[in-house]
Amino acid sequence: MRSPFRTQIAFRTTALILLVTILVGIPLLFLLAARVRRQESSRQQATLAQLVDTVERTAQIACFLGDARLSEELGAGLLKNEIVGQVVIQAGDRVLISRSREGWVEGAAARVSRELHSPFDPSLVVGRLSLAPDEAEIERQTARQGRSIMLLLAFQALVLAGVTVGVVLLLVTRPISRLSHRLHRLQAETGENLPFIRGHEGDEIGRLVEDVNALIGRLVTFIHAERFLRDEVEHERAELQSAKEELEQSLAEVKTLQGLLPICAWCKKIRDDEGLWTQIEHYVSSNTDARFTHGLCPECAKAQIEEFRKKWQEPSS
Amino acid sequence: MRPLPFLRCFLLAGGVWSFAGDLVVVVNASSGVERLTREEVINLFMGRTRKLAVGLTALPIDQGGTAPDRTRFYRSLLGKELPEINAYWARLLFSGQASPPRQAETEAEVLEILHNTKGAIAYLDRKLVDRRLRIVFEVGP
Repeated sequence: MRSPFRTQIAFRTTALILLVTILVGIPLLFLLAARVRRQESSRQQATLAQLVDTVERTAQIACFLGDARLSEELGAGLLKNEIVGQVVIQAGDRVLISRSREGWVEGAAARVSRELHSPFDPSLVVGRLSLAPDEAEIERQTARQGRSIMLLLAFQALVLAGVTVGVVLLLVTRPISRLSHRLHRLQAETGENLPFIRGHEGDEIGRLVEDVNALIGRLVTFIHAERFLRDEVEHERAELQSAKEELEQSLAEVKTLQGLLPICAWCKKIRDDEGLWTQIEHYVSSNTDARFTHGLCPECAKAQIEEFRKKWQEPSS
Repeated sequence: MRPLPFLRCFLLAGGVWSFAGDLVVVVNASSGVERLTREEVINLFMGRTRKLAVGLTALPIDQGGTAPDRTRFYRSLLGKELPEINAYWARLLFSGQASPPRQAETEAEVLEILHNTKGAIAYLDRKLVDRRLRIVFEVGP
């Protein structure tokens, strides 16, 4: 049984689309994952900056007062946010709080730090608030979004493949298949034309039908021409055969003598191939279809009659 | 009856004048504190510092509610309005690390606390300052 990949256009098209989708999709997925990671990192930075904005006033007060308890509460509140990996609040050199999420490891992602000024004197720096992002959360978000994108791509590929199968079946395979069935039943030699597939009169399949019909037309013309020529050839051949037979018959009837014949200058006998001297009549009769019937020409008759008379008269004298 | 409105206007003007007198920060004269900077005053009234420079525990006294002197004091000293100051203290309500200045209902109560407590520090109209008190910082008009 032959593989459907070789026998079905729809199957081949679908397989190729899926292959291309996978080949394009995998690098695309990596690119998207990198992009999502960057975006997530930027989003985290922005969110951390917003968090700093939100708590800045309270952190200023905590640093202004050196209030460790307020800093603790602030830090606990900040760490409830999943993207915060570590909170550090310093009032001058004194660390009011340095609290990390469980399992947090310092990564390459930049911290969001801000100098804290006195709430009552903007020129006076009273401390620093520093938030470190939780990179594991970035990875989790990236993986989550990557999975979503992958599922979407897979879904898109499947839908695309399904639609392609439908379209190819409807617009290509089925009309071609019908065309093929009609072609198999078609008696082209009789000049029968291939009917158009409904709905495909103006497209490539319609053009193919037109081309096939044009070919059939030319084929019929050639068949007729070939039949005519064949009849002509038969007729010529018959004539030739007849002429040949006549010629052969003529040749069979005609025997000719060719070459030099040694003939006696006196008695007119001819020497044959065996070296025997034979009468000319005998020789000619043996080597041709000619036959002799004897007579006397007037001169010889006159001479013979004279000679005969002389002989007749001699005894009497 | 004509002079009465004028007199009333004069008295009112005088009242307003006295009402808008210079605010000064004062301490008990026996506290040993001679002078405070603006920053020190801020630190004392906003809870950052709890002791005076001489080692006494500071007792900052605020005038209650929306007393005009209170509004003027914080506006002149910090450039802030009372709602901002209240919000500041509200943030610290649950931390317990710093507490707002003690509230006195009247100027008389402020004076009484100043007279009786060595570490007390308050803002007052300059005219109310007597010999038992010492001006350590001039807030301004």
